[in-house]
Amino acid sequence: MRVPFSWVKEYVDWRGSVEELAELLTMSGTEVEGIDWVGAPADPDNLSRFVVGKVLTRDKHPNADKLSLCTVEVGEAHGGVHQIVCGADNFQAGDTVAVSLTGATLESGLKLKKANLRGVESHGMMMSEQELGYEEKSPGIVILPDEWIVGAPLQDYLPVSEAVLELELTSNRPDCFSIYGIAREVAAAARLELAPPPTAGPAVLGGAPAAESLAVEVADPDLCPRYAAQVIRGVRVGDSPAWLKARLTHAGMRPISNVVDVTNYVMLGWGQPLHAFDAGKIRGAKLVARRAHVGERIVTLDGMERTLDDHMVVIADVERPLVIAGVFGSIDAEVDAHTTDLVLEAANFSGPNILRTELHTGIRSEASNRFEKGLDANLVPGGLDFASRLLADLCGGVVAPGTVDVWSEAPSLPRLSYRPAKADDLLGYAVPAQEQAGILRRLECEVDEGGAPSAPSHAAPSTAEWTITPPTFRPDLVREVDLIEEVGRIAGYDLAPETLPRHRTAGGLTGPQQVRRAIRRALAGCGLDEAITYTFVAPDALDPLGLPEGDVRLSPVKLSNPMSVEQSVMRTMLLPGLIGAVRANVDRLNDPPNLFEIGSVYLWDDQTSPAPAQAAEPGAVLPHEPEAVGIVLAGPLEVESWTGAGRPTDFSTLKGIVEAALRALRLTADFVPLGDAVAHFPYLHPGKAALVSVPGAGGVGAVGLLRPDVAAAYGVDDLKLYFAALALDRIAPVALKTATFEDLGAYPPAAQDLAVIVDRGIAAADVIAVARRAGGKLTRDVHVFDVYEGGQVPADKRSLALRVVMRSPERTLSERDIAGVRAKILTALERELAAALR
Amino acid sequence: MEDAELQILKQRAPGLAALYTTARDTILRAADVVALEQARVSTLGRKSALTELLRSIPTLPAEDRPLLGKGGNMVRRELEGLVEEREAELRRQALSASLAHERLDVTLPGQPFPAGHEHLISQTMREVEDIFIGLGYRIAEGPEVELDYYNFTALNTPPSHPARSAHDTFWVVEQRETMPEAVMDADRGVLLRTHTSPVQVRVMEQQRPPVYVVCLGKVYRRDSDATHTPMFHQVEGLVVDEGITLADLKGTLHHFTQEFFGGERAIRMRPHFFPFTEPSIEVDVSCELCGGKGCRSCKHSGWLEIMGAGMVDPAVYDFVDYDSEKVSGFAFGMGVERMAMLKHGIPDLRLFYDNDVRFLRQF
Ligand SMILES: [Zn+2]
Repeated sequence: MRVPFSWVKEYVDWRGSVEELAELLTMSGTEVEGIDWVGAPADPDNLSRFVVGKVLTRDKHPNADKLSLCTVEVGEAHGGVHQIVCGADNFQAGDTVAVSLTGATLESGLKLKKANLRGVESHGMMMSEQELGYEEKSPGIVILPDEWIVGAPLQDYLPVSEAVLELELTSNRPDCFSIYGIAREVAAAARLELAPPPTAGPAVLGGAPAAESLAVEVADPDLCPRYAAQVIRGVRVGDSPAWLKARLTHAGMRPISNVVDVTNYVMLGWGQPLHAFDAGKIRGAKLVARRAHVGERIVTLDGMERTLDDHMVVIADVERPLVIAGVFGSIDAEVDAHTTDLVLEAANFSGPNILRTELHTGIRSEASNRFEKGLDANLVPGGLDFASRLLADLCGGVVAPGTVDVWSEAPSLPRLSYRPAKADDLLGYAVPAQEQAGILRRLECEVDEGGAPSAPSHAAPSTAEWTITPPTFRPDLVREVDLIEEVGRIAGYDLAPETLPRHRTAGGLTGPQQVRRAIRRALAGCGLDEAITYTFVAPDALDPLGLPEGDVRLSPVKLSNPMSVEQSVMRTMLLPGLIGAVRANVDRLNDPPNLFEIGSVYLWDDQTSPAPAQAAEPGAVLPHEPEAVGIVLAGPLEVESWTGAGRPTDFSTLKGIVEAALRALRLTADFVPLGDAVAHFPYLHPGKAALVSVPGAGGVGAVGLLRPDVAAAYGVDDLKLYFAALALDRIAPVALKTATFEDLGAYPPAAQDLAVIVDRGIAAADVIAVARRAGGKLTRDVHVFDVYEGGQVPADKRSLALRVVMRSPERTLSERDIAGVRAKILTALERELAAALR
Repeated sequence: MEDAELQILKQRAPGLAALYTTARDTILRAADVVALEQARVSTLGRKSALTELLRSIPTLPAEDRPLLGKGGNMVRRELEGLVEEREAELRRQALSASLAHERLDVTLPGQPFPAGHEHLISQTMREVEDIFIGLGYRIAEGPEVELDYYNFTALNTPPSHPARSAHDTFWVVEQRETMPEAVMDADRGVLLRTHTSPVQVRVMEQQRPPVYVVCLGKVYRRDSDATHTPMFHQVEGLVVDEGITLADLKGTLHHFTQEFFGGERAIRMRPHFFPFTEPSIEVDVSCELCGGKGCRSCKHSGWLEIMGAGMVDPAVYDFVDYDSEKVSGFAFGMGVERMAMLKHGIPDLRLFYDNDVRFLRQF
């Protein structure tokens, strides 16, 4: 909300600067986003060059038909009488006018110089409202009231320069959506006197009582608790005075006509939205506040035809809807230039219902923005009085006696029990009881410190219990804690000392949280960079994978209101996001990256969680959100350097990384060919991929080369992508188990290398398994240190070089021991795998 | 041989002393190992004067034998020691001379070892976690696809509450066996959590006070520009215990900001509104760039908003069956990206999700 500084000061005697006011408001709960300086530059020297003047003579310019040559009195201090050339036509000698003198800098930034207009000198300018910044376009200069003192600074009467506070208001404080409400906050926080409400009614009433010209019926009191109207006859619709245009413009509304401007001014100033009908256009002299009929149509003031539903309230006459209640008027009963009699509406509507109407019609007006927050029905009479007085004063109307006021029920005043000591307990600092009472009273709460009859009047503060009646414009004050907040914020949170809670629990990470950290650190340690991709993807993101029909990964969690189709379903795999990240890097001409991501996937699988009974309708379920680790390798980890050629990434790179990551969790893994599981992983190269299983956890994922056609479908044509996906939720329960010490052994180990030739189809893991078993308990380790194919090795075979490490816990091994083990291994390999020593 | 010893030897066996000094000079003068070997042979070898002297001892008069025997052997040990020392010295000199010719360009790059990076968001979350673990908090977690009840209703934000409209919620098409296909779209029970606050309720449902937890994770709002991404990360803190005050909240948050941002950063608490805290506050930290004087980055206020917080609203306790007359508590929430942006001077939120390695590798 935009709050002109000079307007607030009409209601509270603030002597400080606008910046100090902004600080006061911000620190007491009304956030000031900024101060917008509008109008002419505010420095005193510049403002002294804007004065009230009086036209003494007006003659034709000797050399120009459209200009007049005037003498204007601007006061002794400013040089007495000035000669001014003026192009406007709407004034005559004797008029009081706004003059900017030579040297003044205007709102537009223009600096006035002594001018020579068609051979005649002009010392200053008579200003229009456009030049004052109150209107976009003005036909002539502004004519001021004759009572204004000639020679006086114009700023004393009109905001030539204005500082506008830009407030960010919260939805719980409908009372702050008015200048008077803001002034009340200022008064409370700064301990100043608040001016009486600006809502005095018209001085004179006349004509037939309002009730004789108008009947009001409220069909749906739950949606329209109060509907009141006054009748004003004989108004002249026209232009608003400059001060009113200034107020509206600075507050962010456009001046339209004096009648409409008054209703807007009262809404801004007092907080009660109003609507003015042309009484002559109301058919049947009756207004009805009712639900719209389904499909009922109305043409709103913006010229759009709108179709209504039966949750929306309209104000109708006996034939047709005239207003979408509290939201937007129609052209049918609009005040126009010929309007003479007015029906002025001030009503109260259900906040939630207005909010709903806004959402369904897409209309949000200054009025609906206030109603949606739940306004006080007690604002209504003041709003009517305030506006009808101004309509009488500014538009020449005569206000009819009486108000037609249909009010189902006055809001009941909550009486709250309040313990000042409880405030101190919750805030952690003491605010003296008398100050607490003072704060609450400045906020217009009734404070009864008497308490219960049993409590003596001299009760110690720690047991005192007060009865507080908050004002009806504060619907947010319904409990003791709400009052404590008022006391705390007005007293100031800067009073709070800084303490730490006294009792504490032991902090720490859970097992799965430690696992997440460990695997993240390990993968980064392997040289991978961590990506975080959006968890929502396109519905066709998995199309290239060729997943089997019915696969759970193809039934994602769908958003009903996504921002775009590309982000409309929750991911069921990390793969598309990671490939997208690879592609984004390649597109930016970065080297192909090696990335990992740790995050949830979202599955409607057999592990969805039913909602607790208190939390949702029966049958509601939440998807399963297992945490996954994804790895994609697109480039070398050992890069080319002057020290060597580097090493391209291949399956063993990926496997080594997965092994290292699991080792960081104190786990080992078996890698087995996909076999039948290829149907579940159709996007992996069938011969260059493996299932990963972890002892104790079973299968935890798959690793392998992405099929080239799949990579190409994702737009990565020329890169080999190695991909791993691991189910962290399955790994975590067995991970990071406490390690148990293993004796280092006092006797030296012995190593034997043997190269064996086996069929290509025989897995290295099988060769190792046979060797280990045959080697017996002296064999501590068997691993492959070289693989050789071709040369003298037959085409369907390969040579595996094994290193067998032996050790005894009891003695140094003899040549005989070593030879024995070697022989047993060779025999077993020969017998079980038809291996031959090379 | 010490000078004093040599003087005594000169007095008592002048011949032997002369022999010693001559041999010593020969050894010390050897300029390389070959010369040293020659010196050793000439002074200690079988044909050396010393060896001949020692060999001649049995032929000497009996009274001279002990002196010359002892003295001769002493001289021999001395000379042997000198040869050893001289040899070590000569070898060291030779090695230094040869090393002096071995040169490499130490300005060439080192062998490139792969070094990866945890995402800045992960690093920031870990940092925040560790600060609160140090204060005795545990890390709580909850689902991202969440029930309206936990995200709004149980946080004192019932349907039609105006505060809901500020959240720009993503709604999820529900999956229910009992529900006809036609109404799935219309249903409004499941959503992407708009903040981490629902975890508060889940934690309190599962445990009684005292509660000291922080929750970190992804949250979602329908918004996208330089300062908003539809997915971002939040940190949520919740404390419920006996006698918890707003002053405890202030002390905790000031400790946190000093640990996180370092230095003497001040905080201030401004009143605000959240449905699930009462009183509610927003917390600002003093601007580091201008030291609080006001600059462009802090919109000339000297302060940077970093989080929302407040005392847990008693209405929330009603949902989880806590007694607000017995316990009180505070909650706070902040954006992880915003914290990281402020700390590292990152201008655009979207950088976090571009996954450009040039960004990832800076942290
Ligand atoms: Zn700054």
